[in-house]
Amino acid sequence: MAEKTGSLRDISLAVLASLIIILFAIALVNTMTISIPPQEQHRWLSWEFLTSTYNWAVKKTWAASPEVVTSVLWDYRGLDTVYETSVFFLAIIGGLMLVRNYHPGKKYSEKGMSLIARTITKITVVSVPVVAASVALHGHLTPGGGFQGGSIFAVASLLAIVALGSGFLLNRGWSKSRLLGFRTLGLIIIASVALTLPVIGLLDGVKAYVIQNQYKPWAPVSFGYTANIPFLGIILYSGTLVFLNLAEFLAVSAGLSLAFLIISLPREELKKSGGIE
Amino acid sequence: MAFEPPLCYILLALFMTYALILTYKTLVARDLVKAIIYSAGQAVAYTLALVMMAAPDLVLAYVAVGVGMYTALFLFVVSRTERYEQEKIERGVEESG
Amino acid sequence: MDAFWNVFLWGYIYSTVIAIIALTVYGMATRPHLVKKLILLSILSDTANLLAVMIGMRKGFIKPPVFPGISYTNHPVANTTQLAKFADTAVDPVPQVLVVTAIVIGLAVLVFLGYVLILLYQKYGTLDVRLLEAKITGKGGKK
Repeated sequence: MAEKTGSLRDISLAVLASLIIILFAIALVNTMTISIPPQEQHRWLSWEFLTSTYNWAVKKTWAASPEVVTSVLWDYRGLDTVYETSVFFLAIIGGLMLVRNYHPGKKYSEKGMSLIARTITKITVVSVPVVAASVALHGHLTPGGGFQGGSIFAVASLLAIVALGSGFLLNRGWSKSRLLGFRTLGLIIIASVALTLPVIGLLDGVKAYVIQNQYKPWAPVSFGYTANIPFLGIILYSGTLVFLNLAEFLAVSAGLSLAFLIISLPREELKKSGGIE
Repeated sequence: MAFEPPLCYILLALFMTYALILTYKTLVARDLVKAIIYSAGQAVAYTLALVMMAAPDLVLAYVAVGVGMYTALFLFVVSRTERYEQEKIERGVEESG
Repeated sequence: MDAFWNVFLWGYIYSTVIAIIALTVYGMATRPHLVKKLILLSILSDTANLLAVMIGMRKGFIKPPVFPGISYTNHPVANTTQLAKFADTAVDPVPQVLVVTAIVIGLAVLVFLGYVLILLYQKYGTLDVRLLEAKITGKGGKK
């Protein structure tokens, strides 16, 4: 680095940092987690997951979904994903401190970019959520899922904020309370889907788990995996996965749009509403 | 999505060097907006590296989060705060402090 | 491809990952501006995620961990031979699941830190760590 080359502090920090990294790397290679070049055969855990999520023959531990990543995320490690979603929820709630005494109702300026950018954005802001919804709702069949769809949706709202001015969304009813309402609706759906099977198990006097997806010999309650829709015929919805993906899509898209709406408030609005004297 | 083995490893190595160079430039850049642009390029390099490693879920997540949201978040933060990183602050403040 | 060429290539890929980790850790420690630290933190968390996915890599012809060809209406029964062939060429799904969780939490932390920085600037008027330290201690100077 050009400046301050001689200062001892920087050099000692650099040596310390590289020492830690090198020890970390040696430890990883010695315990065979990193093998250079990558190993040939499978780890038994990944083989278990890959062969069990869509295994019609052995339905003992299956998740009725060909997409291994989403089924592991929401079925085998469902509780962990619920906590991760609550962490995300609390981070946005913490972010609301920027608008502690923020009083809506004032008409916001819709001073976005040039006319060309505005018209193009008006088209893309409609088409990107369609992509987001398809990514989210096909989460249990093809790569994607609730969070990926939600963040793609948030990029669309970000586009609208930047190109059309944050007033464009605020004046059209994207108020803080409404977005928070959608967030909480998403989390309520997640909570209700997670708790339906235990409640059913309780009523039947049968053992059942939170966020259980399919029938298990030791927990004989299940969400089912195919449904006969009049026009579509028999569809594969793999139990809780499609509902959880939908709820996560709702929660993440509303949460991130709220996060960017807050941060894009005009400077003096932020200063006043931040409550900083 | 799956390339033949020798090609995808070479491209992976290429993207990682691209990311390394951009990380260094992010580190050195004094103007924060330039640093943000370098970090956006580096996020693109990581997304392409994930394509080479056959991880479509992460590619979808990184396209939206890494390239889109981190850049926008940092640009918003910089527009609400200061833009330049002073190397030598005026000594007066430090001594008197 | 012979072993040496493969070993060298993968050794180089892992060394770039470790070099990026070292650069970002060093940058976070020495760069005075808080937003620069935030940018380097986001790069560090991305690199750690990438390292996790890299550990899940397998030699040979790798495919995504998704059983191909299934849609809402077209969902054939997959017999064990199809599953075994799919599992044989698919990449390791477990690190990818952990990394999706890590991305969500990384994004949540960074969004929150972005807000904290704005508030910090509103209160103290600067984001340079050296000036901030003087201001927070109320001109108390070095402790």
